Amino acid sequence: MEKSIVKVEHVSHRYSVQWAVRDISFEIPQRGIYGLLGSNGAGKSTVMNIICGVIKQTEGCVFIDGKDTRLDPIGAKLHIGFLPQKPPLYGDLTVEEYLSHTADIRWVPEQDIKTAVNEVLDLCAISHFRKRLIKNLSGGYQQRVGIAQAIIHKPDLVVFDEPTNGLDPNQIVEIRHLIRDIAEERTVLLSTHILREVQAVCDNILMIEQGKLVFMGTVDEFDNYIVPNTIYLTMKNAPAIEVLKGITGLTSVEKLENGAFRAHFSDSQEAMEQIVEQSAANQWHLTEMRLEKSSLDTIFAELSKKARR
Amino acid sequence: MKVIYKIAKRELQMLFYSPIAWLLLLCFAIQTGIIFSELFGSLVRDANEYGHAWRASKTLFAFGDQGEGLWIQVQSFLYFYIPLLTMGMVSKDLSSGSIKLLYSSPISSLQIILGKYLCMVFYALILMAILSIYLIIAWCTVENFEEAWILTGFLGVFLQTCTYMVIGIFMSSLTSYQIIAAVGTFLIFMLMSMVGGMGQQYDLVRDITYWLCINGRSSTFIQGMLCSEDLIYFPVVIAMFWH
Repeated sequence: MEKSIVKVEHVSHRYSVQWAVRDISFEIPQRGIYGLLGSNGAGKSTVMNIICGVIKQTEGCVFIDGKDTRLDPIGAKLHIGFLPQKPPLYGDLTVEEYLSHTADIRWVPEQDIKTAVNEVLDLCAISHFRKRLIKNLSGGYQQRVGIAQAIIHKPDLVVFDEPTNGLDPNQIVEIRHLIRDIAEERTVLLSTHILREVQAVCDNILMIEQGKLVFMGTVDEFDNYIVPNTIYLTMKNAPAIEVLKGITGLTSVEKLENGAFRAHFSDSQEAMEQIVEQSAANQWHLTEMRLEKSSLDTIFAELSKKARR
Repeated sequence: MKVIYKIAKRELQMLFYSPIAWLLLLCFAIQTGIIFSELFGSLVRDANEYGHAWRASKTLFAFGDQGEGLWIQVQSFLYFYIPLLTMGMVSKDLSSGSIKLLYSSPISSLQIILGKYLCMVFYALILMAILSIYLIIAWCTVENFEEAWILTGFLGVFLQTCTYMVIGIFMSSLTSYQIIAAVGTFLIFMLMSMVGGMGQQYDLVRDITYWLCINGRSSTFIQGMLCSEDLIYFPVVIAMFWH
């Protein structure tokens, strides 16, 4: 059986009287990019802060590489690199000074610190800013410095809390590339509420809503979460809508723009076979026919609704 | 231990990147310089007028005919400096979010606080280095200098500074607002100074409040007495605010 890098068991967390996270359990095996999805205030940051040891959970256990974060916090934290929503930077230090300090407190051997700093500076493409004060860098480069500190000690698990927040489109693309590069050698867990980001970067999705885990699976599984029940059709020589409604297996048909139709079916296999047959027999010139999947937004909304019930 | 030292080094670096550390050092040096030169000047005048100056060591550093000496005066204004230094020690990290860097690193909360406290102790040593300049001047110029007495007072001022600093760090860890931390520290210092005057009509309360009063403790040092009771007081208060 594959060894898990993160194991979360029945974790709950309460801020004063309100529960932010309630009885969450999941496991993340080694390697891959995992997206922690959820709307604002769903509990994503709380889960990440608990995993990284920034806050202590009210109930439950978290294991990092088999080490309980409560019983052996230092042993567990050796395997973690964390970039919070707001990068934890010291503006008065230069990039090099800051990264040397972070390597220092992450137990990087004294003689390896210089090499480790140079490596992350190169990987995050900030070598030319090494002598620059952090407070004088742009938001995008500050984010890169934040990423660099999270990976300087080569952790097995890197946790990014909304890493592309507040960046311009070019910077977002660059950071996504960087995350993919980082994930080649380690497990990455990133939180976001942007669905396109999940599609663009992640292999797996964990969705949290109202403090509860409502979905866990691959991006494809998420994509197919709502079983399709419509067929999209386009024909050069389309018949009247009533004719299409008469096809066996279809329950209703609606006309769209440019000679396209959306047909609801009871049995997709039968309906599609009948459409092809009828089209060939009646010279409708069928040019496109496909099962319509629900958009990610629809799935997100559906899962959110399910959590609220 | 190495990690504590590294945190302390980084804190000290950050402290001296801000103007507040330099400004306070400058103010401290000017203020103590003025006090010492006035006390020393009056002694020189006495010596010129009468051919000698009585109890010179005591007059310069403890108390004498000219009023309060350097240690007593430093003790009375020290609590203006410390809250300004300690207010950002933890609260700045809390408000900027940089505390998450420390919390997510393989170091314990105790190491973080010890590192920050060690940084403050270094700063206290710098303040003491300024005071030691006056000590050396007096030692070199005053005949029959009472070094044991004066060094005991010096130790008292240092211990009081360290105690003030731990209280300041404690208050700073309670809030993300630096100004609240500074005001809270002032209030605790005030309480610890005023407690000595409370409930004086009751013997037991008088004993307890006298023991709790911070100024009373360091005054014993300044009077040249090195009591085990006072030596215990400062570590006890430091440990109390630690937890």
